[in-house]
Amino acid sequence: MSAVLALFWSFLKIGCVGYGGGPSMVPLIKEEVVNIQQWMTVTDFVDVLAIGNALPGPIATKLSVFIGYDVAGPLGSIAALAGTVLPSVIVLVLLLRFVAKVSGNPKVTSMLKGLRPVVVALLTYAAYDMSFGSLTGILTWIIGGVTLLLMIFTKIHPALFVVAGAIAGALLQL
Amino acid sequence: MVPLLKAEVVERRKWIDIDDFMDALAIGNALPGPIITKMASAIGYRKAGWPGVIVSLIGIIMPSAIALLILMGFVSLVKDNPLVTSMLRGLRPVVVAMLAYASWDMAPNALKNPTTWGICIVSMALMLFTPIHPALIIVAGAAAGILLKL
Repeated sequence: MSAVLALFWSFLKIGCVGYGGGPSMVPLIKEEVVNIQQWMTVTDFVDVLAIGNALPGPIATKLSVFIGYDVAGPLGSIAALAGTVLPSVIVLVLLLRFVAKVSGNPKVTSMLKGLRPVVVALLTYAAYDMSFGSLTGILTWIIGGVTLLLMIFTKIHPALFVVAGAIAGALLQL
Repeated sequence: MVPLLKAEVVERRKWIDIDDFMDALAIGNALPGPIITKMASAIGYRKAGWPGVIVSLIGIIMPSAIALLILMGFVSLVKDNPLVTSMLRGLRPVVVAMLAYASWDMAPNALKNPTTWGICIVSMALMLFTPIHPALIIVAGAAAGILLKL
């Protein structure tokens, strides 16, 4: 039971501060699950993230369900997922109900402008942190570099990069 | 996923009109959490109250979450196979690139002046050199935004 509560608490923190959409929540999930709670190794986390990215649907909730299940079974899944979605869903419904004008509010705009640079730092840091177990030789650097360039300059769907990375790994016998 | 959702609920099903949809999107963007779950909840709520929220969330989250559980179950069975190990080694750099790209993609909108660059650099330094929880750094960024009237 304590694992279920720990999952709920960890994912609740993520659900309360995970601004910038699903992908921006990934570094926070990694921080809680890998560094703080040590439920998984960074390499296992990277693998789940890679496979999760190859599937459609929102990434943060997929990760919550999977990690919750991995740590504490079906109840763990529900606890992690509830932590991720409840804070924003409850606030959203309350706001809809009272038709509060949050979008044009200058304080909300200022808040978002202040936290966006933190999210950029968070994503950069997560890429740096995960590079240790992932970029282990010249070939993996090339795969990472080529993927990044293609993402910047083309409109190829992200799932295809996951498939291409797996094929490259198999062909190069990494 | 947002354009897909709009096509389904506004244009095809006509559950809510475009103004309500844009309102929900604007409110959703001011809150944390994945955007698609917020949109699904807003539409579910508008259409059928709390039960609507619950079924919309289940619908949007479960198919891909269950697919991931099944796929990972399969991967863990074959993990020690040398071919699978090679494939995973090829995948990992892609994940690093995806995170780097997410940061690159967000940067032009986030880093517009010396103040926002400063917030980004200080946050980065705090993550690299201190054990402060990133959630606190996000809250500090939000507070800085309000105090500095960004």
